[in-house]
Amino acid sequence: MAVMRIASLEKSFGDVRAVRDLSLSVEAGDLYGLLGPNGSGKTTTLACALGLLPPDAGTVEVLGVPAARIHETAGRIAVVFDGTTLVPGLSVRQNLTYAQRLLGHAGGRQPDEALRLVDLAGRDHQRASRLSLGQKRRLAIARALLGRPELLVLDEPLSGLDALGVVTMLDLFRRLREDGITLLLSTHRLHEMEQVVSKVAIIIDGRLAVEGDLTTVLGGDEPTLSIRLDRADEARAVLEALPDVGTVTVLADDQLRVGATPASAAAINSALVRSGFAISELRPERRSLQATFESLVTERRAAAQVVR
Amino acid sequence: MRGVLRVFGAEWYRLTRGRTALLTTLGLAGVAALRVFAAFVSEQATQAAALQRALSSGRDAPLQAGPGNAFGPFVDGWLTGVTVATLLLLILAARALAADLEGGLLRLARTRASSRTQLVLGRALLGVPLVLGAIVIPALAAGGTAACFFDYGPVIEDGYELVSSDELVAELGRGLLATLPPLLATWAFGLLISAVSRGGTLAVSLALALYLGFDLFKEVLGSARSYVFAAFNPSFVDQSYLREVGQIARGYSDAGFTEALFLRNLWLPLPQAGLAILLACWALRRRPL
Repeated sequence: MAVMRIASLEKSFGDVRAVRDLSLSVEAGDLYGLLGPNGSGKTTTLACALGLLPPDAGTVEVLGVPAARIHETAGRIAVVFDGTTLVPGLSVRQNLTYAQRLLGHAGGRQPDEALRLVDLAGRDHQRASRLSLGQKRRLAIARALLGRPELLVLDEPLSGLDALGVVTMLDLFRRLREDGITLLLSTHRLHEMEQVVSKVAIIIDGRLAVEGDLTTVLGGDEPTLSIRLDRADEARAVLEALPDVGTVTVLADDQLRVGATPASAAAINSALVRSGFAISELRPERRSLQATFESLVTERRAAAQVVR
Repeated sequence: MRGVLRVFGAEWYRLTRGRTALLTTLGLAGVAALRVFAAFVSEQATQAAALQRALSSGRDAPLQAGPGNAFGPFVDGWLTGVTVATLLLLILAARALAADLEGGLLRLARTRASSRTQLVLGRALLGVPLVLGAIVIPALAAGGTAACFFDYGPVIEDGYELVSSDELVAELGRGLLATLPPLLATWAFGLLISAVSRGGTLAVSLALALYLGFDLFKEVLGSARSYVFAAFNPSFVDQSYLREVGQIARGYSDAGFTEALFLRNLWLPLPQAGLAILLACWALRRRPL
């Protein structure tokens, strides 16, 4: 079941076409990554999807309600915006109580549980203005978790967090998904997103470049092994003579990339050792989200140049 | 309606939990009390000067006058407090939507459970207790302080009672009644400015510039000024009904509004407030959040 459905969305600001004919669908239970470089149209797409900005064309439905009437979802959707949007003069707990009052009912997840989930328990009485940036971001997430949100939308959730904060946050996203909450994360932090998302959409220059399960988006390429050894040039001939080995590329004097599955790694290793090569590293290589993203950006921008 | 009350409840919670609310209440009460105390010091100084003049010219010391009538200093203190409160209300209303739009809180409320119209109407409703507070807090502070230094009683001149205590209390009631509608309209005007401004600082600057600009130049408009709600607010160039009450409490027989002007004071600001709120709703519905 789709919890957010965007169809043929168009949005322009003057002469600038921020979003062009964009369609995507977030299904219940997804941990969905909306990815793209800065200025690609992610935030505009989200603003239209959340009823904060009227689209020029297209339709957006969130939890079965048109985006323009998103308030009728009555707390089933929660959003954490880029920037923390807290009330600085209120304490941590007062910020949560304020949000509860806006929500209008006290059911579902309560402040204590929300604070515990984001590791802010015990800071109830600290003023929001005195929290660190990472703590403010976690408080904003705690606020979003109040009640019974079914869809949690987070715009740049990792910005401003230190390494430990990022790990904590990614773990939180996994736990929330396990609890049955659908998450939509808009970010340009590809490496971190690759560790958690189940489905991605990549937006480039306002257009949807690709959408699908993470494995599908990353797949399609020949599996490869990366090998570090002495005399890479000489090793190439040995490898090309082996069965089940595809393209062999010499990357450096001491590094090769071999088109082969991880299952053939042992056979390749034995053959190289028998031929007297000293192997210092042999590991399967998966195409990263970053690499996929970079090639998509290059492709799309080259195509756009041709059209012009 | 439930959505409006929800926004009102949340905003009331936010307003009353911050330190600013306590400081503002104390500040307003302090200003009103200080004005009454200043009237007491001034009266004491006048009596001391009279005594000094009598003694230096070899005459007998005048009879020690008792404390003066409290109604005059009370209205002065109340008026001063309400004048300051009016400006604070305007600033608060001008920040109400614009600062929350800038800070992202409107987006939060919008995506959680509130329509744009509810966001405006909830804040408009917040104006009611705030306006009441803006009138009651200075009144209590000024009234209490006046009771400490003066005696409440009728206006007496040369042994004749010009205005009885009951009449003065009735005039104070009319003054209170006349102060409410223009203050509500001031709140609504601030919200309208807030709904069309890009940020809190800009909204406050614009609202103050327009309000104080009108206050300074309203004389130029002649009688036409009485068709604008702001003409009836206690202000620096004061032409409010409360000012007239102060004059009555000092025995001026020509003080007070004509009945037509009083009715205009009562009824004209309310549709203007309604119009401002409608326009604020319309403006916010058209804005990207």
